[in-house]
Amino acid sequence: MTLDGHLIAGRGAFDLDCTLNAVPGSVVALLGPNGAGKTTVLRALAGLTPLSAGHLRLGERLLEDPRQQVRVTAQERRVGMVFQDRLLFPHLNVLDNVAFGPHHRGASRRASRRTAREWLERTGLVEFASRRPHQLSGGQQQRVAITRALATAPDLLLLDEPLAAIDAAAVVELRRFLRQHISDFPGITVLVTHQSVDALVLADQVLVLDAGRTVQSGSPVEVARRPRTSHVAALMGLNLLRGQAEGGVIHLGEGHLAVGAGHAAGEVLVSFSPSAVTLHSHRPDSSARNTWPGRIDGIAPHGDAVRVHVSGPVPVLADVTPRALTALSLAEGDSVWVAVKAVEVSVYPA
Amino acid sequence: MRTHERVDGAATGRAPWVLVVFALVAASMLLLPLLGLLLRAPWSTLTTQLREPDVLDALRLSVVTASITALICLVVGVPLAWLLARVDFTGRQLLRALVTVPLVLPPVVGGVALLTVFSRNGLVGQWLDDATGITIPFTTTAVVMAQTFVALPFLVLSVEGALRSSDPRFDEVAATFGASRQATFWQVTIPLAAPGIISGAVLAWARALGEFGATVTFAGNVPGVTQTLPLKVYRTFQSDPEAALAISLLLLAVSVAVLAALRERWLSGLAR
Repeated sequence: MTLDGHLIAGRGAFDLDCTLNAVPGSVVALLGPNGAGKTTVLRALAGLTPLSAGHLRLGERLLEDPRQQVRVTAQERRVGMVFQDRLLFPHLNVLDNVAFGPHHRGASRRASRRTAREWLERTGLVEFASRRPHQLSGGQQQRVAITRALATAPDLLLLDEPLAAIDAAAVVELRRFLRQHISDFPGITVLVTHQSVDALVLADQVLVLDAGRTVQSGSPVEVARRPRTSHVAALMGLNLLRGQAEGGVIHLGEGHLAVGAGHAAGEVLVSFSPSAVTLHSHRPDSSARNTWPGRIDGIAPHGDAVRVHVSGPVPVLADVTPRALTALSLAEGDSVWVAVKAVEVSVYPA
Repeated sequence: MRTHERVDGAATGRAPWVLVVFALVAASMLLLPLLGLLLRAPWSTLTTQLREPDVLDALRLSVVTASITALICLVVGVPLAWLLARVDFTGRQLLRALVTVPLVLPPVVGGVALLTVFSRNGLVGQWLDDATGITIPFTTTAVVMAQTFVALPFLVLSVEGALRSSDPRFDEVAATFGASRQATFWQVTIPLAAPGIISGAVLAWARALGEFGATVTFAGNVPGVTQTLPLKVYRTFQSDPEAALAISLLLLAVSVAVLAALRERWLSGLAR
């Protein structure tokens, strides 16, 4: 049952226009900054936000097409949705929360409770069956919410930032839970996230949205290695620069990168990890073309390293060791020379 | 509902004395009459005063009519509140404004208005009389109608507030799980708004119990038929002020009990 969607929806000043295709068993991750339209995509798929144009088809079934005046209501779509803030029914215990979907999709109260119990056993939550949502931790609530969505055996599983608003200690466990149950799920999963690791670990296909438009789509590896927007580059922890390639040299405004031959000429994107950047207090002599001046804008700890924000004509992030930082005695506002190791740079057409 | 953190008094400075003085005046304006009632009440003869048959009749009539009124308010008021809170339609603002009119309208005017519709030559009353021979004014039914007219807005506003403060996305969750709008209303919307619905019903009941103006105009003051406790107080006060005091004390006790019950509800609603 493949998903074929061209989702066009207006919402005041914001409008969404994106194409979405997926095969059963696959996981599509939606990445993008806040307000990019990720949640609107989920709501449109669920039937909560109407399309103004375009179409949505799931297998043989046309779910929505404004031109043909077709709109299958949210109730009649076989969709399981997990909202970011869980939205477990506070007046029902865990068992009845999970039984809610099966019951309203036609099962008797007794049968739906049985289904719910089976699902809670499968997801390891059966011990919480008679608890109320407020008696559970955020991570437990989210696991119940995911179980509740799965219990209706939906064609489409929609997850809106399932790992957001969960404390760091529980996220690891929840991510493992999510991976296991998503990989067992036979339908199509659409996952909204703004954490790159979720997209990399869970998804088969990544769709990057910005201002309601698809700016990049591809495999997680492809998107991670060759980001096309500064947002995704920042998510992946990469520097992203735009330049003109000519004879093995990329011109970046006032900086140059010699990357060797074999690259197409014209407008290119250049990405590299902050650890490929070194900082110098004087102009380094070697590989002079891969270096340019800048000013230190900010210094913050980043794992074992120190992340230095360098501004100037070619702004970059640099990860240096604390030892290097003290050796250079660098502080905010200081002038530095930036050097980039050409072998660690990836170049691709813009 | 979110509770705010308590402001540390010492940190923000002493309360200005002008405000304190005016606040104390306000409080005494509210409490002094109640104190008078308590001090002048015929405590020694209280039980015999309240055991008079016509007092008991009035009490029974009051409780029965106020309870029927509260029930009617629930049955029709909750759907109206839901419509105002959750359904988009043109004229919603206007309807909400009109619903609140009886809150500020003098109840006597409400009684007169009811008469223009339901008296034997009123808009509906005329037709009703012709068709069935039933006349409403000056019956127990009229008491309930007068009470409903003044009490319904309390319930509608209370329930609408409760519906507005509960997250409408629960309705969306229910929809994605296949629940029809009707099923969602009963199984999700109503349980989530239950504290507001209960306090609205109690408020409506209390308002109905104290109703005077609309009742006396539309239903008259007939002992055993339309004479509720407030009407009884008014009638008795002219002949036997001491007995009126006793009944007033009874009504005061009921009001305090209602407030206590509401407080309990509100607290349990917050604790959820």
